[in-house]
Amino acid sequence: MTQVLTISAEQRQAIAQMVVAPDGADFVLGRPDLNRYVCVPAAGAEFVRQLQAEGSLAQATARAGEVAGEPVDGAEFWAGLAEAGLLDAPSKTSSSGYRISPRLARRFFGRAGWSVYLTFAALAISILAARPDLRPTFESAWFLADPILSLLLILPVGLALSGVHEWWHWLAGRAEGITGSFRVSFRGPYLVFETDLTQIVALPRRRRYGPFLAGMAMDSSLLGLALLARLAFRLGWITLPAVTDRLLGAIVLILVLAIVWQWAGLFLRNDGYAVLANFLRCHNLYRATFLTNKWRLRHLTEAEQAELAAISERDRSTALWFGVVQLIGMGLVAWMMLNFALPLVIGTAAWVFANLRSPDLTAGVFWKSVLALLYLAAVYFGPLLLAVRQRLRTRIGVPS
Amino acid sequence: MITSPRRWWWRTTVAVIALGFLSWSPLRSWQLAGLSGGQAAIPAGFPCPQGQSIEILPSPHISWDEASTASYNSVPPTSGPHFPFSLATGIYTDPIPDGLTVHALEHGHIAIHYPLDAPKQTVAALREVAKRHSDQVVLAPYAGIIKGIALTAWGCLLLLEKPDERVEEFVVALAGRYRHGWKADA
Repeated sequence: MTQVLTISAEQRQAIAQMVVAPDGADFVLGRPDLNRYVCVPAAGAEFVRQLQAEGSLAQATARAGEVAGEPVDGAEFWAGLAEAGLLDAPSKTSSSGYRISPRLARRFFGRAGWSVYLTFAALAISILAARPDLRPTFESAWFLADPILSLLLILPVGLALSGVHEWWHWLAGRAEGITGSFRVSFRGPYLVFETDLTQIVALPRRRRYGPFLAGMAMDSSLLGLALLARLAFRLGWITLPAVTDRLLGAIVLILVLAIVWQWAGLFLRNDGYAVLANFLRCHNLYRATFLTNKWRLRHLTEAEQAELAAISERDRSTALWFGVVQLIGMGLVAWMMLNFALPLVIGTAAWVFANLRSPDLTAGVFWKSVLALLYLAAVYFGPLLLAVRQRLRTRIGVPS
Repeated sequence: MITSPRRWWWRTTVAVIALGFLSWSPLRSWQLAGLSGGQAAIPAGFPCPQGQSIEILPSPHISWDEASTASYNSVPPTSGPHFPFSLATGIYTDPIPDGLTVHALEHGHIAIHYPLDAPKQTVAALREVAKRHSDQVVLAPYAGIIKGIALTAWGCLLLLEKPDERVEEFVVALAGRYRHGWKADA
């Protein structure tokens, strides 16, 4: 069996690039350069480690058998690795173009770095608890006497904050040696930030918290700074232009909503979900929870029942109570929408329609209202149109 | 997995919580229809505890164009037609349109107005009050005042020659008295 197989030079190179990481009782085998990962038992991990130590297939099979406590079929496992694409030629583009070394990135995520993030987070919580006047309301977004100008100026600020959040995830990933990408691109008319951290599955679970929490760590730090500046202004420690103080109020609103969203929007697999799923040592908690809640509130199709049954016992049993947490999160998101988003949208939309109802082409406010109408339409109907377009393209076989 | 009767328990519990949430939510207190269209004149049950009571006017939402013909029963206004959006509380260095200030009053805020050429020490004293009550006060110059200062809340007006302790008292007594509806003791 394994004795008749030989390992080519290219396959040796592929094996050398493979990562082996413990994940509970199992192990993750992966090729970070190809973004391909599989979960295998301990014997499989030992098999690969033997090959990485320049062992032969026979030696690797024998060692894997020792770990498993029974004979294993090394040839079949080898074929499985090939089928999963883990023995493909190394990617020529891998590990290139990353100007920030893990060593440099680690400076932001060492003991000192996390102490700073925690200090600012504690500061933000303390200020918000002690000073109700600094807590944001939906009105904070209208920081100028012109609501449309307020929204148009908040848009780039919000995008910049979102970009910094995502980039900090990526930087924390670099600190752990992950070579994922960070891209700024357009999805339809929308500017989006994409952080690829799929390689994180090759890290031991305790090392995944840094990349998962990094975005919120940066959000909390910026929130602490903004609140500190506003407090210092009120206490007379610093002087600020009045408009800067109000802009900081709008930034506080954006950051508070962003952080609450990360913990409340668990049903959308955000950062809070990643942290909790990692802590609970689950692999597919999202689907397990979704299907469990769907079963509770509606019904499951046969395919969904089969999918739920195929999910691990641990994930399914966790989903029984995690589903309640997820529903509470949904309630919190609904509360945020009613308290913040809805009054803002209604107030702005009513203003826009009032000005469009009696059009004065020579008035600046008319054209600003047109601009705001386009903006609101893009924000609220754009995603729907993109989803419909994507569905049509999929139906007629056009690649996305 | 859970058994079928428990499924009904889940459905009932979630439905009850959702209904409770909706009946408690801001949808009711903020009166969604009022948010988009404004509201009718609702007089207060008691006179203003500070300053003079001003009759509450019908308060529809208006456009920029309609604001040029809007009329009020006081200077500065304490109720009446206003823009559909409000503004963040705080210090403003340029005058704010009446239609916008009135909406801030409708949200329970206090507006403090001073003349365009007010002495620096007057503005400085008012800024300190605005900083101390930064979630309640909108401070801005006002072209309609020649001298002194004017404090407004929904249906209330206080005119003073210069800032004194009555400014703070007015803010404390009247902030939040009306918020798309009167407080029970107002």
